[in-house]
Amino acid sequence: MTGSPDGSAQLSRARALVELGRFDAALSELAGVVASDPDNVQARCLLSQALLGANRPAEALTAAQHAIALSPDDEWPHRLASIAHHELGDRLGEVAHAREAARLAPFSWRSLVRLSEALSDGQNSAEANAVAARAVELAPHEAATHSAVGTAAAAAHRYDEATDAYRRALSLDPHDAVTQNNMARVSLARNSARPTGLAAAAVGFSRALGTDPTLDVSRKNLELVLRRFLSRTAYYLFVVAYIGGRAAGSFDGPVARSAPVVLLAAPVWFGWRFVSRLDPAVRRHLLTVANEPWLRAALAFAAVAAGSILASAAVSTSSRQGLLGVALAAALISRVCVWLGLLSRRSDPSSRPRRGRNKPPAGSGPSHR
Amino acid sequence: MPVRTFGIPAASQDGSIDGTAVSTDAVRPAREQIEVPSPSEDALLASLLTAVENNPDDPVLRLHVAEQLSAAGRAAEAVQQAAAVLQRDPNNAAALDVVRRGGAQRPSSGTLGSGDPEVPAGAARQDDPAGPDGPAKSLVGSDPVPSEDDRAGPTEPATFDWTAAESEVAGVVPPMFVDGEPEVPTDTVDVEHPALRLSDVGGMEQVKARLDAGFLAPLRNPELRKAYAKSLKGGLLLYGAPGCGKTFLARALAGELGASFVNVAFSDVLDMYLGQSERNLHETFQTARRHAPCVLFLDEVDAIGQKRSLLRNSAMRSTVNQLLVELDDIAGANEGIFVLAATNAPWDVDPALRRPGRLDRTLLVLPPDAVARDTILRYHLKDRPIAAVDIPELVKATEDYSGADLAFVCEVAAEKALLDSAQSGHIRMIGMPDLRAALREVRPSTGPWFDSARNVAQFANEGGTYDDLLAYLRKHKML
Repeated sequence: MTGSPDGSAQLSRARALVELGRFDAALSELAGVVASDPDNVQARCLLSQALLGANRPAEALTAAQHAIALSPDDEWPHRLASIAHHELGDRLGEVAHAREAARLAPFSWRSLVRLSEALSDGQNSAEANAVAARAVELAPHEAATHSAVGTAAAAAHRYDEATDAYRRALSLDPHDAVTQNNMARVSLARNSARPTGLAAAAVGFSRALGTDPTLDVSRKNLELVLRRFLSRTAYYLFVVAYIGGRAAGSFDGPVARSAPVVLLAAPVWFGWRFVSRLDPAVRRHLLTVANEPWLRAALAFAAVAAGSILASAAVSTSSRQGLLGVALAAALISRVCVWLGLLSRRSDPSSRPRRGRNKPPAGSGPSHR
Repeated sequence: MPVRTFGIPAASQDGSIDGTAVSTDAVRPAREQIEVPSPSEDALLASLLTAVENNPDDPVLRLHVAEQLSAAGRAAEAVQQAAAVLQRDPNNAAALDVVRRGGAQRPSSGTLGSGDPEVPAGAARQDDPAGPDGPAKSLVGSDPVPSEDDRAGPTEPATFDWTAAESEVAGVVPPMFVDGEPEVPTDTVDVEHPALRLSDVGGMEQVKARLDAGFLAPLRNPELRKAYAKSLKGGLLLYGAPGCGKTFLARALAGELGASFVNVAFSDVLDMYLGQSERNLHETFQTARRHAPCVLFLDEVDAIGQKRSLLRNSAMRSTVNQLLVELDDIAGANEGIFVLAATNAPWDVDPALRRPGRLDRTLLVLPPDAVARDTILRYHLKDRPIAAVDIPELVKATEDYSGADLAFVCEVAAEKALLDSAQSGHIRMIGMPDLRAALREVRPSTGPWFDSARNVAQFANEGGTYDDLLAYLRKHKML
């Protein structure tokens, strides 16, 4: 513990600054404390937390390791080391430190939440779920424990359970943007083929962004959903054109003539269902996304495909085959354009954010405030 | 000679002998009127006083210095030294002797200076030849019963003047009991009187026009304001990317109003002790109220007034509550206080702060436009050795750069020219190649801010709060 009243005051200020996301200011305060009292475990831990907040995980890990060396029986530095390992992409280190934190403080819900998250990242979902359930038993009124249950369930593809857990977490803390984002991810994973599922995911990501505009991963996820929608629509157009073309080549008569038009209703219905479920803000954003060069080309070719299919209903058999061929080619090019568009802006929909910019990492605080 | 005070009351710092200790500097006028010692004597005494400073716990040294001072006619200083010895050893006979002699040497209060208070009764008793214990006891007030000699003396006051004695030691001995905190209004933050005007702000015409229409016009036209029943309540929240001149604008606004300017950073308010941050905030508002008309500028208001839903720390929540109370001005004391706030993260500001009557108007401060960039670049280059600098080219190349970025570009260019001069041994001017190289190194720092701002403008624009930001983003194809 800090010896001097000045050090104690600096430590308190640093704690408040970390909470406010003023990591640089906190680091300045902590530099003084650590210099005057290098064996201060609290200061080392706060330093690690501030460094994590400032996106300096390697230094945060060093600070946490110093704290562990000074006080091996303290769970907080282990928890911080686990988060630092996570940020550095070292799963083994992450789980090892999380396990140690949970061993040292088996009744600390923060330690259990950290362990559950570490295990969920490592796809050890059964144990993650059990640990998260224990955390909920210990702290049923903490949103983070329910969120951990949701994350563990989502990792095990138990999406209904995950959605319920996330809902409970959001009922306790409606402003938790990370949980909002994770819930949208579950919605996307569960119903990615259905327009309503895609729309729900898009709305969820946009809400997460509204809550915390610094949550960059939500932005990427939102754009990914919108591109996925465009990709699906282009794909359905391609399928319609292909089946129509095959039907036109094999059959004749009013049924064969009207089949492509009827089939065209499928992508139209898909598009309508998706767009109608979006918030006005997301709808406007969809137009923005669609305005990118590759996607604009994709939409243009999709329009050519749809026009050709519609025109094929009104022409002779030979002309119909030609038009459906054009539709097929246009739909194919449209799909390639969408694919290229996705390739140029590839993002990882499975990444689970831990925080937005200028926010301390979730679960990095001390056990006792 | 360094100022050495020993915690004496302000009234006695002019050299009056009050039985405790006095400032060594404060007695100079008295010394000059009594006797002017020779320079060598003075130097010796100065050395001795330095020795006392270095070794304040040595009573023998102090007494020796006291004797020397007394011999040099510097009675007040001699008494001061003796009093310091008496503080540690109230029965020290030699010290009491010096005090007694000092009292005898001391001229009347009128000679010492016009502001000198009357010699208190307790000090007058030091002339009393009642023995060494008498004055010492009366100095500390441990002997309330007058001695036989006191009663017998024809010129002595019949009773001890306790009020005078207490007032003498009031600064030395704190009162045992008080009724609440003494209320001495002091300014806890610096109050400035900026000479800046809005016309000093280069470019940013739209912002200035909005400030004029929304803030200055009602202030300049009280009659119209009265006619339209326009209230002056409410503040203005300036938001925008960091380094774009929000603080500068606030200062200019204060100058324009001819008002005082109080700049409050969150570090001025934040305090570790429970309730102290709220107290600091209150004191800051009180300072502004005392200096009305005053522009109270809350810098980084997202820290002082962060969304309470984001705060786990209850002390920080109380600070936000206190800010709401101060802004609400229940006592009507905010007359003449114009609250301006600035933030880079308006989305983190507690929504309660944005309600009518508080920070109910927002103003987007964008990165400097072309005119402003021109002004800023010229300002940062004016005192540097430059040659053939094409400002229009720089202005064109620095779209989206903040004012701070532009300053940094000039700094980096100067660094390059300096390094080159040092390496080549030929001093050369800062030229366009240096500035172009600096531009390649320094990228606009506003990018991350606009990434977040874009999200909030698109997905959290409730009530059209961020319409101006949205319009800017659309205009600059950032959506």
